Amino acid sequence: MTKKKDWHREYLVRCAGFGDPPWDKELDEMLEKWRKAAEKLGLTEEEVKYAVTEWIPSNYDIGLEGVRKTIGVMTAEATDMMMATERKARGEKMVYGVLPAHTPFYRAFKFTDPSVNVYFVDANFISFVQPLFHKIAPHLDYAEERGVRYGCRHCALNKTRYALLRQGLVPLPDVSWIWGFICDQAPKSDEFIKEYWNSEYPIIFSRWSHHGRAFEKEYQNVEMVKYLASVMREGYEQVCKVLGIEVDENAIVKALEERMDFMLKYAELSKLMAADPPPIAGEIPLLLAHGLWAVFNTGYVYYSDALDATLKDAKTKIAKGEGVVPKGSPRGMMWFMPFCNPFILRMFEENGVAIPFCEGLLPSKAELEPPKFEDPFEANAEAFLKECMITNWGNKAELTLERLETYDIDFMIWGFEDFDRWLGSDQKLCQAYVEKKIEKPCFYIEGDIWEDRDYSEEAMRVRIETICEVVKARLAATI
Amino acid sequence: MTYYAGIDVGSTTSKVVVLTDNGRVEAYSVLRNSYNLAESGKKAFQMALDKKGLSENDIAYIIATGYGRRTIEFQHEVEPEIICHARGTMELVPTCRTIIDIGGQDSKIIELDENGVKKFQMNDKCAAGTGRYLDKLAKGILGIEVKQLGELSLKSNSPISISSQCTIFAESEIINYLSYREPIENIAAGMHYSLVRRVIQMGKAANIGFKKDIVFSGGVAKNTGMVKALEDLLGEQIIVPEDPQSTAALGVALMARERGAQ
Repeated sequence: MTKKKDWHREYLVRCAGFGDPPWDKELDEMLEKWRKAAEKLGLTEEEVKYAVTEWIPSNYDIGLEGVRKTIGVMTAEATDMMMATERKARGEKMVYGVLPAHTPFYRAFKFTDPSVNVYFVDANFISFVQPLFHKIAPHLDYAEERGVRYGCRHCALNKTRYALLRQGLVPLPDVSWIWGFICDQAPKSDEFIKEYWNSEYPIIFSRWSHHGRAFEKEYQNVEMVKYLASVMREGYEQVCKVLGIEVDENAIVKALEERMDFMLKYAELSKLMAADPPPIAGEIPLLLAHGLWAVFNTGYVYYSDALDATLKDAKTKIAKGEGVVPKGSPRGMMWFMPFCNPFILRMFEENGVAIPFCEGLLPSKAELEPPKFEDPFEANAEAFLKECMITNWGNKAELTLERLETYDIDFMIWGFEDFDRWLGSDQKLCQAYVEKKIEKPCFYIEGDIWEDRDYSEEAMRVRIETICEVVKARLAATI
Repeated sequence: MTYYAGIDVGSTTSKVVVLTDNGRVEAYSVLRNSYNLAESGKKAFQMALDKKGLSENDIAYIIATGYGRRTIEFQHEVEPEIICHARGTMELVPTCRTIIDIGGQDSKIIELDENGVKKFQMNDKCAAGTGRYLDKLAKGILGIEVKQLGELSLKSNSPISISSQCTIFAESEIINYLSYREPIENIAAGMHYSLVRRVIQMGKAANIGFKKDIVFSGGVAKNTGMVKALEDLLGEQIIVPEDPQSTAALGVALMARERGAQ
C-alpha cells in the first residue's frame, strides 16, 4: 500500500523553498506552523494539493530556487501572521500598517522593542492567498456581506483587512497606524471598521496633503518635506506612546538604511530584467518588491535569501541566453502588474510577449541616491516623496518615459486599478501624456490587480491576445 | 481554383467569408448561434460552402476568430477578433481611423493608423453598451421586434433621457415613461442615444479620439436609429459597410489567404 502524500509538506518543499538549503533545516518546524496556519486559513488538503500540482506549476517556474524562495517568503509571513492571535494572547504587542505607509518606521518599532509585531495584514495576506491559492474571493465576499457593499467596488486591501479582523484571523492590534493616499480609502475604511463593527479598534491617522503640483519633484520641496516629516513624527510618537516605548531616532536611521540596502540589491535585479530575453517572469521581482513597500514581521532574513537566489537564477539564465520568451520578443512594462492574478502575465508569455517590468515599484535614480536631509524624519519624508507610487502624475509620466528609454521597452500598459477612481484617473492622465511624447504602443486595461471576480482569465483573454498581436505587428512595421 | 475561409464565431452569430485566391468574396454566410458554438461555426461554414457548391476540401486555409474561435476544430489558426475587424474594415474603407463595432453581447472601439490597430477598448461586465440592450428592451418592454426600432426612433422629435449604466435599470425607467404615455418613438430614440452615450464614454475613457473616417460595424450597425444617434453625438458622418457584420470574417479570410498562399 502506497503512503498517502503529505501535501502540506510537498507544498513547502516543492513550491516554497523549504526543501532548499539553508531553509531545509527549518522544514519540520515550519511544517508544524504551516499546518496550523493553513487550517486557520481554511486551506484544505485538497486545495493545497491543487496548488502544488496544478495552479502554482502552471503559473510559476518552480524549477528555479529564487521562485521557490520568493513563494517561501510570502508563505513564512502569512504563517507568522496566522500565529499573531496566540502571540497577542501572550501579551505581545501588535502594530498594523496599510499601504502606502512608509515601512522603515514599522521596522524601527521592532528595532526598539523586538517583542513588537508589525504587520501589513491586508497586503501580505492577499499577496499570498490569491497568487498562490487563488482564494481571496471568500474573504472579499465576507466583507461585502458585512457592510462593504460590492457596488462601491473599493480596494480589495481594505475589504481584506476588515474580513481578517472580523473573522478573527488576526487579532485586534494595539494600534493600526494608517496613512492616507490619493484615494484616502485606507483611513476611511478604518473609520468604517471602528464605527460599524468594533469601537475598540485603535487607529492613529497620518494623513498628508496630496496637492503637489504636476511635474513638481516633491522631495526637493523643502517646505513639503518638513511638513510631511512633522506629520510622520507626530504619528510615530503617538504609536510609541501606545506601545510604551521611547522614540529612538537611531532605530529609525537603521531602518531606513536597511531599506536602502535592500533597494540597491533589488535595483540590480531590475537591471538583469532588461536582458533580452527577460530571464524570469515579471511577477517574481514584484513579489520581492514587497520588501520595499510592505512590512514583514519575519523581517528581511528570508527576503534577502530569496533575492540572492533570484539574482543567481537570473544571471544563470542570462548566461545561457534563456528567458521567459524567445530572444527578440516584444517586452513591455506595466504601471502596476496584476501579480495576484498570475494568469495574466502567463497569457502574455504564451503569446510570445514578456512583461518584465512593473513601473510603480521600480526604484528610480533619485530613490537610489542617499537622502539629503539629516533629521531621520525628514530623511524618511524625502525617501517617501521620491517613491514612484507617491509622487504626482506628472512625475510618474516622466518616470515612465525615462524607463521606457533606459530599459529599451517596446510598449506600456496602464490599468488594473479599476477599483479606485483616483488611482485610475492618475493612470489615464499618465497615458495621455506619455502617448503624445513617444511612438511606442500604449494601452489601458480595465481590471483589478488584486482579484479576478469581475475579470476572469477568459474575460481578459481577448484583450491580452489583441495587445500581443498589435505590439508584434507594430514592431514589425517599424523594423 | 483555391479558396480561403475566415470564420468569426461571435457571441450571438457566426459569420463566414470565403475568398478566391485573387481576393474576391466567393461566399458569405451569417447564422444565429445556438449554445453550441462549435456546431454553429461549423453550420455557418457549411452554409457558405453550399452557396457555391464547394466542399471543405476546396478550402486551402482556414482561420477562426471571435469568442468561439477555439471551438472550431477544422481551423488552421486563430486570431483575436479586434485585429480581424481592423483588417477587414481597412480593406473596405482604407481611410478608416475609428471603428465602432457593436455586436450582440459586446462592443469595441478601435483606433487605427496606417499601420493598423493603435489602441482599443471593449465593454466589460455589462450588456448596457451592446445590442442585447436594444434587443431586451424592444421585445421585453415595447413589444416590438428589434429590427423595427431604428425606423421607429427616426420619427421622434423629442427623445427621452434614459440612464446608460444598466439594462435592468433602463427597463424600470422606460416602464415609468410608458405609464406617463410617452410616445413610443421618443422612447426608442432615447434608447439609442443612451447606448451611444455609453459607447462614446467607453472610447473616451481609453483616450480614443474618434478620428475620421469613422466606420460603424457589427449587427447593431444595421439599425438606422443607431447611425443617426452616433452622427448626432459625435458630430461626424458615420460609414456603415454593406454587410456590417462581416468585417471580422472578411479580415480573417484575408489573413487566411495571405498565410495560406505562403
